[in-house]
Amino acid sequence: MLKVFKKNWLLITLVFLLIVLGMVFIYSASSYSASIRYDDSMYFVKKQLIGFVMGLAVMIFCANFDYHKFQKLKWIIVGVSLVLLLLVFVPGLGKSNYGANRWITIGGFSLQSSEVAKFGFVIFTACYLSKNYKKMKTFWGTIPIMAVGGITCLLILLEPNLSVTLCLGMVMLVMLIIGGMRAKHFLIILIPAICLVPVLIIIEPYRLQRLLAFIDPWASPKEEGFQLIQSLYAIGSGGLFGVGLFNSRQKYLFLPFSESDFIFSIIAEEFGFVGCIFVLAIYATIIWLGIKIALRASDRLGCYMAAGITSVVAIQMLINVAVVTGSIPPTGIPLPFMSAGGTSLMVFMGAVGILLNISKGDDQNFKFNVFKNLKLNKKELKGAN
Amino acid sequence: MYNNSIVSLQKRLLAIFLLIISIFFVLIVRIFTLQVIKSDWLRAKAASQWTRDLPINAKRGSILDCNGAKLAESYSTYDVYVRASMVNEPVKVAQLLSKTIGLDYEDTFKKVTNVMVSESLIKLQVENSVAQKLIDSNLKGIMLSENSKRFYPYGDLLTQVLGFTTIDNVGQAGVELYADKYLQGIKGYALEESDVNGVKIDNTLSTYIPSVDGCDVKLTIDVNIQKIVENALKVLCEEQKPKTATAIVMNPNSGEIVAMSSKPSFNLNEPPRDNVQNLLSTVKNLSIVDVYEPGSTFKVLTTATAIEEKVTTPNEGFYDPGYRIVDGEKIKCWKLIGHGQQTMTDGLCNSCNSVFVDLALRLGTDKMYEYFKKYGFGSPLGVDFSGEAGGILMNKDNVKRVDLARMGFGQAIAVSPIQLISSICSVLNGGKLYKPYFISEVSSSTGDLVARNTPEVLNNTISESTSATIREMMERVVTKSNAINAFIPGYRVSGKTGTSQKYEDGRIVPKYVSSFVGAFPADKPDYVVLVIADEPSMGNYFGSVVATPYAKLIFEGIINYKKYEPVLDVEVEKQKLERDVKMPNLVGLSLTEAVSKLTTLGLQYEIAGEGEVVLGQTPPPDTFTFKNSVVILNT
Repeated sequence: MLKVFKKNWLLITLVFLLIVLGMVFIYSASSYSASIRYDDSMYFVKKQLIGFVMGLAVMIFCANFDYHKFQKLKWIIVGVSLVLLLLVFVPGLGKSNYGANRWITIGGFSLQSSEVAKFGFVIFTACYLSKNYKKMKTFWGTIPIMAVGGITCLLILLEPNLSVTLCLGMVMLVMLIIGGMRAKHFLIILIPAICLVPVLIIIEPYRLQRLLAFIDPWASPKEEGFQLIQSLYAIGSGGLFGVGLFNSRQKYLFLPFSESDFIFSIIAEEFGFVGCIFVLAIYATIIWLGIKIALRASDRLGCYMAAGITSVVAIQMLINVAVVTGSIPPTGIPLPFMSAGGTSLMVFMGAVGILLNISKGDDQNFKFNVFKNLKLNKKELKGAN
Repeated sequence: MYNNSIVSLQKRLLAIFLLIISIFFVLIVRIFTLQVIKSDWLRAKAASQWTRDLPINAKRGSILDCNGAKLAESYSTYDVYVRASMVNEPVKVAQLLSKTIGLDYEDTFKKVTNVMVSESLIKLQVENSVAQKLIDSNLKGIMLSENSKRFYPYGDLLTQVLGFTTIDNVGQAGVELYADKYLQGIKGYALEESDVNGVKIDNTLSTYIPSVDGCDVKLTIDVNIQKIVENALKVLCEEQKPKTATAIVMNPNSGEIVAMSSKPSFNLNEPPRDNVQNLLSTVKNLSIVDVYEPGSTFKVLTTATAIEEKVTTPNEGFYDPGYRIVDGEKIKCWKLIGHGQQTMTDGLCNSCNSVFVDLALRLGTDKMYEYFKKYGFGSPLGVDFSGEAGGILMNKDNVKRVDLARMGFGQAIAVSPIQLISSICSVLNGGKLYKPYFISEVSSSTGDLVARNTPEVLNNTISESTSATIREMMERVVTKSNAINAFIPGYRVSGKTGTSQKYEDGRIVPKYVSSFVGAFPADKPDYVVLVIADEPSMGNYFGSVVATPYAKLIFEGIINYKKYEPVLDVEVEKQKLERDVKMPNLVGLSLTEAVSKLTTLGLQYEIAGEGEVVLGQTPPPDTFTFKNSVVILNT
């Protein structure tokens, strides 16, 4: 345990730094709204603390749970994920919020199924790939990944939760690339996926309005464009060095979801451009460390799993920042480790635990040296010839 | 060629990492754009929603008369708003509002629940007692903002002078409009840091800029004399039923307007806003914005000019055959059989047109126009009132001798009532044309003097000695002629009547403007009064009958109010008005015979019509009438 900590001190420190920073900003962003809505300025911070304590337990468990055991559990994990996603629709268990069924409540705790399902999918795919990576050159070999991914995506889409669906879709794409899927097979799945976009818009016309709002939020400053405008106000007000910790003005109910999906805007407002660079640098380092663990993993299973987990962190974080800065159409997705949300924090901490577990493996045979490996690659090729 | 070795797996991982890092850079560029390049623009836009400014209304100043009586004042009311985001019992709030203020429940409920706007206006200017009920309810979301409402204690008095305001307390007409910049005050603001719902954020500073109440405006109007004038015009309207009636009382020694009224009028507390046409016509201050042909009252000015220019003397003899021929055109005197031989003074008493034709022609166009300018005709005098008319003067180069002759007796020229009375004042007060004015003082709500108007001499018109002559002559007009209806036993009143027939589309029509201008006391006037009745419709149209008796009412009122002592023996003077003359039957007689009969009886007369034989008479035969009173002969 100590050895793991020593080996990964930077990763652990950075993750905890993000979580602590996240709580500070959750307090800053939500103390006013929470005191109005729940009569308790610490409402969201308390919930986040509970998520953190539980996340810590999950993290320690995962760090000590040999990831190879997932190989046998993969179908159970897929099953649990799908059941959780289905439970959302069960009256009494499912909790409806803002017109979507995304949570299930069990004994006072609410859980966001899609957060769990994301990682369930990653674990399953890693397990499948490590056994079947040779089959990936055929289209049929990719089918189990796409089937599990597709069903998971569909269930999340039905909640509806388009943003997590897109996020998961992109994770699936990354996993398929890492898994070695052929380029021509990509086109077979990409073309229908692109065709799906207009269909989704026709089903729920509000999506088109959201799309237009992203192009010119000031065209409808009170309706579709409101949230984005408020986010841009927060970010813009920050300037180079920010308005200072706890000094955000946009948190006074101007920016909805400022403690969850839009927490980055409040960070940008209070800490400015310099603060944004700082936070983004932490994420970049964590992603790099995750990739490094994948590269050094002692076997293919560890490599695939570490890469999958890292790509979930990277994709979700990039989408979140792109949304709050108005770079892509707005969609609600939490910022990993920082946004208020117990399930999200717990699951991401558990994922870090798995990363730590993977890093335990003997990496002597798998020394990371890109250039050496590239040379080796050439030799390998020659040998193959 | 397919390869899925560990090395190619690593290469793919690195490629994906590079892709992620490049997206990072794109996002950093985007954040830099927002936080550094567009920062000021975004911050400014954001800042505009962070504060809420609540206007603090300034109390509109009062309008006072010369003795400090309030003619217009403002009292506190409340504007009621509802802030839907703060309402937690919408049904109760809507019920309370609709019930206490008397509004439709459905509409109110919509406003109470409309969270798309931060505030909805429920009702402006709610009375204090209603506001108190709303406060007592303790319901959340109801907002009250102090406002004020205009109140005119005298209602239907000084309608056109005071004017009125909009419901937002902005001056729309009259003094309310002219002195709006003084009356309105300066709005204050409370700027406070607020959340998205406009709720003030704790521990933030609010900036409070207090409002400055409007100034009080003191007028030269004396409300007591105004009441006398309003009453006189009311009687005039009842008895003569004119289209409009106008009266002005002016202090000839300063230009102060002491009273001014036009009828019809309306109660200022309830302006007829539904009938815009009616509102626009009745709110016109005819004394200032309207012009008319002054007719015979103008003869006083021609006399003054002629005597000043020494082209005549009061005792010069004139012969009137009943007309003058100027450039081949016959200009008739109102008494067609002619006044015969008479002095200049008699000519004024008789209001003989021929005399004034002579005087105008002797003076010539240049001199006449020089004096028109001195008297203030042809351009506004600069009264402190909006929309003053300048009058209409013919282009001097186009004036023919016939036109000049007519101007001598007040035709072919149009002036506003305020211009006429101002010029008459100047020939009575020793030759000073004062600028007429309403506003004497403006003082702040704390009592500091902000502005003061003092009498301003615009022109010197005639010399003091000429003025003294005019005063005597005008007094004589009242004692010795048809203006006898203004005669008050024991007091010295002077005056001159005027009757002018109207032109419509270049043709004379049977519509008249009857007027009287007079002064009191005659030897050293304190008050000059002008009464004009436009188109009287009860048969009579002579100024002596339609306007003069009402001017007399005004003089009597002033004498009573100001407690003037009689200067002459009242008993002796009264005999002049004794009802001891029995009217002879004049019908069927020739005009010459009738006039000589009346003269021997000591009666004054007016001739209506252009015939040679008397067809009717007022008063009728065998009734008793006052000595010196006016008999009207219809021919």
